[in-house]
Amino acid sequence: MKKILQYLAPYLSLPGFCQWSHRWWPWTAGFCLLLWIAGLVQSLFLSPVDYQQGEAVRMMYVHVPAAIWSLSVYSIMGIASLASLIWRTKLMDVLAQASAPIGLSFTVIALATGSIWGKPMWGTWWVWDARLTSELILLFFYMGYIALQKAAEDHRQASRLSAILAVIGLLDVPIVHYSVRWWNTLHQTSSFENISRPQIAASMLWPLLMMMAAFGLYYVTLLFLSMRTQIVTQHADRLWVKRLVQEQRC
Amino acid sequence: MGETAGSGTTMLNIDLYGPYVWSCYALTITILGWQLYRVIRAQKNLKQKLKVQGILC
Repeated sequence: MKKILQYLAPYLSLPGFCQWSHRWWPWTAGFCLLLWIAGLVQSLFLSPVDYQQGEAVRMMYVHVPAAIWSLSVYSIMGIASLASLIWRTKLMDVLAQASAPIGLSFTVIALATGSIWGKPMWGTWWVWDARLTSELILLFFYMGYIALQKAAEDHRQASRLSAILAVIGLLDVPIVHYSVRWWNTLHQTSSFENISRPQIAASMLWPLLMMMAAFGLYYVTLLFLSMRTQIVTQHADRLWVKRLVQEQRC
Repeated sequence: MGETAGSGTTMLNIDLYGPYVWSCYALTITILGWQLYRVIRAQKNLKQKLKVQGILC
């Protein structure tokens, strides 16, 4: 473990991160664009219609990845906040701050597309069932985190308060995930809880996985760009920032 | 998907998708596009600031 940390240390420092993210972001952006194009073509035009839902099943290809990534991004944000509280690592703090607006977007998409999907399938835009309500609470945690960041005058105090809120919000993640099992909900259970034995056909699973990867790479690309912007903004007076910027390595 | 025409070619019938599907995709692309714009704009503003400070040529 110590050896792994020693190996990773140069990459996890602020200058190290700036340099390697500067090298990698064009690749993640390129793959992201390709996956989005391929995923949209597959999900809108090539994937089959469902025998019960008909064309409406195509909403799954944006709703499910957005919902899964809203939870994943919150988990990353919460764990990074916890790490920043314990070890006072600046990179983890920046990671959590940059993740919040992206995760908020995913949560808004998950809730809105779920609502649009619910109307033709359930006959209603919204029900106060466990899955929908817990996802809405997740949205409030994201909003609270961003509001706290902007509200406090002192930057350090703002980071600390919002990190505490992010850690508390981690409790909601398993509730959202297991809500369809723990309570009797209108929302269906997961179709690929066990990835080796998915309950959906391969012709639908592949476009779904493609869109999930596209959402993931979108998150990584935006994260690299936002984190670098934040690091340079917060440390513009430091010598290493000036040197890296002038040498176009950041 | 599409509708098979008499000539044997597959034609895309947009009506089949309905407003729900299209609005889902339009909303998703709008939100993600806006988020991307926000990040790029922040980066441009930073570059401008660094130029003013003389750090970036």
